Amino acid sequence: MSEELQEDDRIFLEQAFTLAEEALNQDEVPVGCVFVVDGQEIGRGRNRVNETGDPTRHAEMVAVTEIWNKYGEESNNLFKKSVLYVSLEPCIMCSSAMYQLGIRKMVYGAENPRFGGVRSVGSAEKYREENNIEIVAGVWAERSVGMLKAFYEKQNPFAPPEKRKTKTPKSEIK
Amino acid sequence: MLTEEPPQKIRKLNSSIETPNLVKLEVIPILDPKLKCSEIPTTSFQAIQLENKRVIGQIIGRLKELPEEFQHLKRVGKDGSVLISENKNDSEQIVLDLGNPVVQLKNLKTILVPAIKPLTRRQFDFAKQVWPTGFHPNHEIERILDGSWLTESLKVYIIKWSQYAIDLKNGCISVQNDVLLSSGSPSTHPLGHAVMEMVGNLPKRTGSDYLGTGADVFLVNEPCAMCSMALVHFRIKRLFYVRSSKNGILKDDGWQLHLEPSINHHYEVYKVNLPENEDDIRELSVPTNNSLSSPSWLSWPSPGSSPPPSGRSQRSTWTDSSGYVSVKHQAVFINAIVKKVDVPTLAGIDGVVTVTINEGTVSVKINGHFMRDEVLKVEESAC
Repeated sequence: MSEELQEDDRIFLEQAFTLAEEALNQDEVPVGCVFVVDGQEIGRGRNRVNETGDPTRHAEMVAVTEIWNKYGEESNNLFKKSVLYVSLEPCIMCSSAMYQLGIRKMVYGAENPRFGGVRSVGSAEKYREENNIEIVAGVWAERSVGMLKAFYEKQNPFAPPEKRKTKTPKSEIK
Repeated sequence: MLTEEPPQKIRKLNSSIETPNLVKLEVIPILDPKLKCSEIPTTSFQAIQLENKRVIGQIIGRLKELPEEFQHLKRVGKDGSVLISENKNDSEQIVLDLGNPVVQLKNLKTILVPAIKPLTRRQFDFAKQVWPTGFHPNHEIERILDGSWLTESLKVYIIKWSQYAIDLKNGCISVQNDVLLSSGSPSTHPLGHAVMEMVGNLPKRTGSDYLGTGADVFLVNEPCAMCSMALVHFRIKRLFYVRSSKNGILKDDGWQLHLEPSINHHYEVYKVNLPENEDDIRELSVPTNNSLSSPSWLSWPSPGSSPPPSGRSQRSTWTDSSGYVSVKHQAVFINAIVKKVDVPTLAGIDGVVTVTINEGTVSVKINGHFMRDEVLKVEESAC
């Protein structure tokens, strides 16, 4: 799949993955994303569920709110022109949100068989939405899954407390 | 904090003995179709008919256990025949291997057995007519199926909190131990649905309280996929909603996220059909000498009920300039677009427009006259 990517795509996807790593370092589920219109970033986000105590503060939702705060009513038009780069297949909540916002295209890392809302578990048809977002799926999937694994290993309740906060070396993540 | 338990028990007694159905309220559980059907599939099986009942014990002792998927079946039928195997050839081999002169191949017969374990008492009653079958009732499901779960105190509870959500204008609330946990109404945020606002408004919790674990959520409009999944993330126990919506996904013909097996948390879903009462009819006063084209032509009678805000919902049209009138029924938040109000009749006089909505049927009265033919369309609200 990576072959389809243009240089621009790589840059923005790399930024999404960097945001995911930032989340991982803050003990959040490692997902990050960037919204782009005409080659320009309009907003970004990473998972902030633990920080806020709000289970809906997924990367995509954080970015949408940032864009809304920045552009107000104009953001509705911007969303329709935007490409979302995200390090993991968006969950059902976030995918449904993307179909409702009517974004143009989505480029994402690994598929998410438990919650994935684009193809894995949910889909536009199931949401009674039109299936009109261009999808590029499974990009850099190993790296995406590697971060998730690192997160769940860190959170392992059976791990001794001193081990639980240990940062996974970058070489293992990549 | 007061606990619900004692009054609930007293009321339950009262309601079942003295005053049944005191409170008029219909609450429809949106259940897994697998629980709703009264019959279960059957499949064919090989059994051996034994004339001498005394050998049953001997044979059973020498037979292997039934495979996992047939563990719900009792080994011996009412007529004393014994289950051997699903497959005919295997059954013949098993019978030969028994080497018992009383047990002969000619006694093998094909019978029908329930293919799956019954999930409900109704299914069990069906299954046991087919073949003796094991059954472990889930009492909570049985109470939902026979309606006994909806006690008088629960009805009062559901009406009270549903009304609270309605008063918030298409609102959403979460309730724990009969205490309000969090509430929200649609905002202008592009994804500011009532559920998202409610979840976002919950202050960060500490200690053993985790998000909305175990909470009941009351919602006016059936949630869309985004909101339904947000409620999964919020870890609620039950959802009660008042109205079906266009992009709702929980009703019977929808995806039904709450029944999706791959998801790690499930909540129960109920549709609340509130009883009809005076509040269901809102009168819209028509002031004298006012232009039809003005949005203020119709005004809400009660303070605090203002024209719907612009923003997220494009459907909340107030009036338009061509004399078409769009009225919003407050109790259920439905748009009835009424065509061609008879201007001469209304201009210069005091008129009253009454909109009544009952089970999706809209009736509009202007100055007491039915305007049935003038109702152009009724738009279902969206989550």
